[in-house]
Amino acid sequence: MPRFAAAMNRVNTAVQQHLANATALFDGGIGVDVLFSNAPRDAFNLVAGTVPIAQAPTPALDFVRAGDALRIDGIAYTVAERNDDAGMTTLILEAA
Amino acid sequence: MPHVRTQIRDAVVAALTGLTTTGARVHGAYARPKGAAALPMLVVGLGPEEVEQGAQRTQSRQAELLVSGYAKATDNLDDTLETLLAEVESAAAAAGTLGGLVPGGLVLRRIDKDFSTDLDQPAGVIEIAFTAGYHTRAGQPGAII
Repeated sequence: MPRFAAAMNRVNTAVQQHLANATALFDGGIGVDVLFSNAPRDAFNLVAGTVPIAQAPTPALDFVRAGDALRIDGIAYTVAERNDDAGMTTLILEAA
Repeated sequence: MPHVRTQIRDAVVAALTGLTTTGARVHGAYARPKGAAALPMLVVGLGPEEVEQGAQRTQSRQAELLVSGYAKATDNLDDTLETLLAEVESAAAAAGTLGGLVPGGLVLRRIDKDFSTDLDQPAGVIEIAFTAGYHTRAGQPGAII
């Protein structure tokens, strides 16, 4: 891993350890500490709402794909989208 | 004087303001995304327009008027959109010629619906398209003849 990418991963992981507020449990019993929240989103460009998201450093969520099932705080979700940016991965979730 | 299109849009906004389901939540221009407290709502806009040139520089125009009703709800979303449709159709008919702007009144052309399950609650839109026919003289788009 290039030096900058390694440094970014260390920073992301350290930040994540402080901010994680939930554990996402994936099939196979894999648990990943995530920052779980509701992010603003809109439909038809005019109807505002929110969607649940889970964020963690990309290496921790490398195995996750759209359509995967997971549970957070006992609630079942499906991964609707996965967005990778600057070493962090955001999973946009749908209630299953 | 504003373009007759603008006058028609404003007249339709006035005619649709105060309906049972949407109340004062009627917008005649681009609106920012609205949350649950501001829904259901109507957005009124004019789209494509056909212009036919007549004698003595007269112009016969047919503009598409689109009324879009937006709602977000866990239950009865489809019923809410259908209620919006009924209220808008009735109000449009009652508006007549919109104070003489549209001599033939608003003519209903098309109804369409769409739904989204991307948000915390299901959201939907019902699009109600009318034709608004009016007449102007070339170079004088703010005055009906």
